[in-house]
Amino acid sequence: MDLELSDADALARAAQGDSEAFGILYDRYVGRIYNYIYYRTGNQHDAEDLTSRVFTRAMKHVPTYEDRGLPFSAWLYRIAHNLVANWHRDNSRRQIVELDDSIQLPGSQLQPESLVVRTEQEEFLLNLVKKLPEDRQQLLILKFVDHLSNAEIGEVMGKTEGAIKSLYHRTLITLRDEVKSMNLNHPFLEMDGSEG
Amino acid sequence: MKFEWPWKRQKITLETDLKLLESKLEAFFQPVTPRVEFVKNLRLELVGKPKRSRFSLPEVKWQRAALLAGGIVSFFGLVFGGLRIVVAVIALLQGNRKRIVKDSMAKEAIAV
Repeated sequence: MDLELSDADALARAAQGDSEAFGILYDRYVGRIYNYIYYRTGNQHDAEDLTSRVFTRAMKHVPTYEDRGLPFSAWLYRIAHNLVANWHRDNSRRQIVELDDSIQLPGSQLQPESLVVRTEQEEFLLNLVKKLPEDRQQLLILKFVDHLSNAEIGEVMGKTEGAIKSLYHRTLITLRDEVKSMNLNHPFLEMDGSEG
Repeated sequence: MKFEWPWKRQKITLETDLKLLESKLEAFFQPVTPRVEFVKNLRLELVGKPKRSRFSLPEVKWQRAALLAGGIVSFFGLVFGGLRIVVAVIALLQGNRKRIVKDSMAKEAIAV
């Protein structure tokens, strides 16, 4: 029965101190938030650390949560986005690791003994995505990993659905142009290279 | 051979490239599953142990009332049904006995 509870109802109950209602929201979104953070940080350890911080922060602020027409999920993603941005800033100051180079592709994470060798194509794509501005990386992750619609991505990123659609199209064109400028004969897209 | 304007061909190639790129991105960004222990421990940390199982009574009052009313009605239905069966069996047995007595009396009368 509780699983059928809407986000708004669960949130209202959580705001009144019903921790189990917050648990329902947690069960609903922990996977999605983890995925988002995992692809933004590139490793399991930081993904777990930041995911726990997102939900701890959310739980702390639930009693003062103001419904401004923003879905609960968008609010969570915004918390996650802010924490990831802080994480990137802190890491760039420390310069301990080169970010995103440590991304382990799915499958390699759960079974370290059978590490999947990153294919040349994946490596190539990863380098391309890394070069994109932060908002475009965020858009790709929300779209492909969390399977959000353009409208939902817009709510998370504070943009209109049309703006997201346009940004996505421009991102694809940028990636495609990047492929062409890097190596016209690269087999990645099997482009003919005769135009553009 | 069909003639194609260069800009039209360019548009088709761009669309094909973007579709291909989209499919590559889709294949690359595969969702990952967080560790079960991590999810479980974080939940425990945040909300503690689950208070209710899936089969316990729901929180909403009218649902609870409907469930209780349904239970009571079912209980009385079962009791009533059981009683009817018992009464029917007794009646059947009594009817048989009366018939036997009647038959034996008729036989005696004939014999007399």
